[in-house]
Amino acid sequence: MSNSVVEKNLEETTSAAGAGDQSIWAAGKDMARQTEPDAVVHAAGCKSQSFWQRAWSIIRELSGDDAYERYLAHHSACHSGSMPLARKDFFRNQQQKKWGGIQRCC
Amino acid sequence: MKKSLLSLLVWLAVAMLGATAVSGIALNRGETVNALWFVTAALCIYAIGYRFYAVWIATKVLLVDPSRATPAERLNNGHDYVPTNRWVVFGHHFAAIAGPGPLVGPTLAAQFGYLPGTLWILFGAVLGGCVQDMVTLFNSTRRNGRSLGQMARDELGAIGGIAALITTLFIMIILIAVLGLVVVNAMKHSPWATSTVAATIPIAMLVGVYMHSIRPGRVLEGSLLGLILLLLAVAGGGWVEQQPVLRELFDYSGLPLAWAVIAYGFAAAILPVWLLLAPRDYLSTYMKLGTVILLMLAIVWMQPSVKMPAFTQFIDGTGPIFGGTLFPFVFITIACGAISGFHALIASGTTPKLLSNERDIRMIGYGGMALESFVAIMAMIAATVLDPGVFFAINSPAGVVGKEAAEAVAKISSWGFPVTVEQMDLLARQMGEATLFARTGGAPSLAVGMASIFGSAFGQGMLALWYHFAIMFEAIFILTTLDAGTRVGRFMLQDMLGNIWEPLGRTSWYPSVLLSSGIVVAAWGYFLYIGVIDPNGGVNILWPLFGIANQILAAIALCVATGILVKSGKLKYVWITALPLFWLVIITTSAVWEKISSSDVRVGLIAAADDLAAKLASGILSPEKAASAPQLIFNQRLDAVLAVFFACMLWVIVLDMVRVCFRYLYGKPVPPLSEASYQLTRLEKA
Repeated sequence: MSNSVVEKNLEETTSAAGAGDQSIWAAGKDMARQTEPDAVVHAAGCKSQSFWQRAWSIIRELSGDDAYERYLAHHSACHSGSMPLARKDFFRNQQQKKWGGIQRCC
Repeated sequence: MKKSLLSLLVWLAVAMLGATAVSGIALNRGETVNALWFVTAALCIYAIGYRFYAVWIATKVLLVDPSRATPAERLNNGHDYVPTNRWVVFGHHFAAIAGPGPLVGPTLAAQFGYLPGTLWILFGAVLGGCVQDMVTLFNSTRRNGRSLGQMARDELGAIGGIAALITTLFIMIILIAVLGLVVVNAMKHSPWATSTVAATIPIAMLVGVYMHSIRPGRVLEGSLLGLILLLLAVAGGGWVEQQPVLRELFDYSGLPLAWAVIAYGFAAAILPVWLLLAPRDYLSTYMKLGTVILLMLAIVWMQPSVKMPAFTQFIDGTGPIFGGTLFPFVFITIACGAISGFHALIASGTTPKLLSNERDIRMIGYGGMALESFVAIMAMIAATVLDPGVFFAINSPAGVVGKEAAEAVAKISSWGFPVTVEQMDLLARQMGEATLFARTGGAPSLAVGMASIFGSAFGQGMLALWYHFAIMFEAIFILTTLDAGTRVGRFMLQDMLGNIWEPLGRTSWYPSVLLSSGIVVAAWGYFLYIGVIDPNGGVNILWPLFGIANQILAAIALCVATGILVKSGKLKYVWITALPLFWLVIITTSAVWEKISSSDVRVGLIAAADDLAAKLASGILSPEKAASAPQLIFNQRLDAVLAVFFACMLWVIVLDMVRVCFRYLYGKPVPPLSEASYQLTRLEKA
């Protein structure tokens, strides 16, 4: 990509973010508003759930306990033509992938 | 309008409270300080940095754009690119960046007094480390989650990419060696600690089998089972200690333990991940989060007094734990608690592939590092609530204060930090250890500090249990880093060897797996072995070397970020990464210079090698010392070469970055920005 295209993109980005002439106070509030929890994308964030249900689903998602269910949901949405992996195979694949790169720091 | 006035007043109050707390701990002389002031100062500084500096960087400099689709959305494949809840990403990111570094570094740096380390942890993080993590996360998100090495190659050229790769491999080797040394020193002649740490291996394997075969993928069940077994192992270690026969079975000196750790590292690198590494990581993550929260609650509840003075006389470079003056070694020693180059590897690669929206970059990049820095502050508190005499008795190697207890306490008391043999014996008995003298490496003193805080909060009678819980907690995630690091080192090496002969690059070809794992383990095993036979404790040499390497990796990450800022036409904001970079270049270069040129044998590697060689030649060494002297001399010279090599890598990439920037500014062709093009998000209304 050439420089000019990137600059054009950046300009678009600036206007899209609308941050050009805001004070830092306004910008901060803007970000705070945008990061309200109801903006979360994932299943964990359904508004109809109670606090405890949400906390539990976040714990499950954090630990990877519900990874297979999420994989099945993704699979039926995007690749419904093929058979999904069995739970055991999925889990092994996932771990192999995860530990193929840098995962832990000093 | 009313609301903004209220928030102005609230933030003014936070700023004033923070300023009071910082000046309180900075100006205090000669009295103990309530640890709550440290916590207050830290929380206020992070809050202000997060609310103002991070917002300003996100909106004015980076131009974070919530309407832009992230790689996780555009490339969603259900595996590694997955748009994820921001709290979940935060959890994964923090679990990945939080290692033993911020626990060990501040403990060692406490030899200068509490103030220098604390100030650097706070301001280094807010102005340097958090910015590095956040900017790197942003840059990688805009580039489809590319790694630091790839970004260095794309944005600066081939030289930058190679320098980043080689430095990463070396830092990994030094890191594993020094962490191995910390574990070995914590287990030395301690049947309780050794049996508990040994028990973590079959426990991890059991959990691995449970999650792999018995109940596949049931992570929470498996982890809960493992955590219960781990706690039983801590209590069981106390029982082992009481049994004369079993006691003997787990009572080892440093060298056999070092060999055991080396053998373990090799086994862990070649065993399937589901059996050992993955379950151990689950356990260590929960243990880490749980203990950090528990420690925070205990500090807030008990409000222990910090007894260490603000400064000690050791700022002149004569410290017993490691030699070297306050500048630059406090910065090198703290390392990960303020700025960690390693984080740039996590912030590029894994985390950006999970972000569902760019606006989460501030919370995950900046906020994640602020929390890590807070862990470092708690480690500093745990080290400095000990009586300074006790702190130095635990952390000073026998080579500095003498082998005999009476000799050591006389020497330490003569520095103005009174301590008695009875006091140390009583403490050792309370902690269930044979002795606490010369237990270098930071882990035992951190465990004593944590045990005394936990003990005063949750029951004095269980001090020994708390001590060994803390040791197990440190050991379990040190061993996770050791496993994971050896594996990554193996992959990197296979990647390089694959260029020489293609089959060596195949990650599943067993001869290549054995060969490359063997090379990596031998490399860190060598430094671990030397560290164990070194009468000065090994930490004295290895930790500064690790700090230098880590800070140089951070400098490389900041070089990439600075180059991208300049090439994006944001020259007037370039100081946000250029100033921390400038500072890192100064401290690492001066540290390397001190390490090779200092005539003080406790600082200068070459001076130490020459001194030992002269003593060996004149025949004044005891036969035991003479036997290990040639190895130590060789090692000190090798370390000097390594330090110079690190510095050269740094300067090569800094000059390369400056060259690219000047070419850009003078309108000459440079590698183009590799940012992926804009695409509107469909995930939600932006």
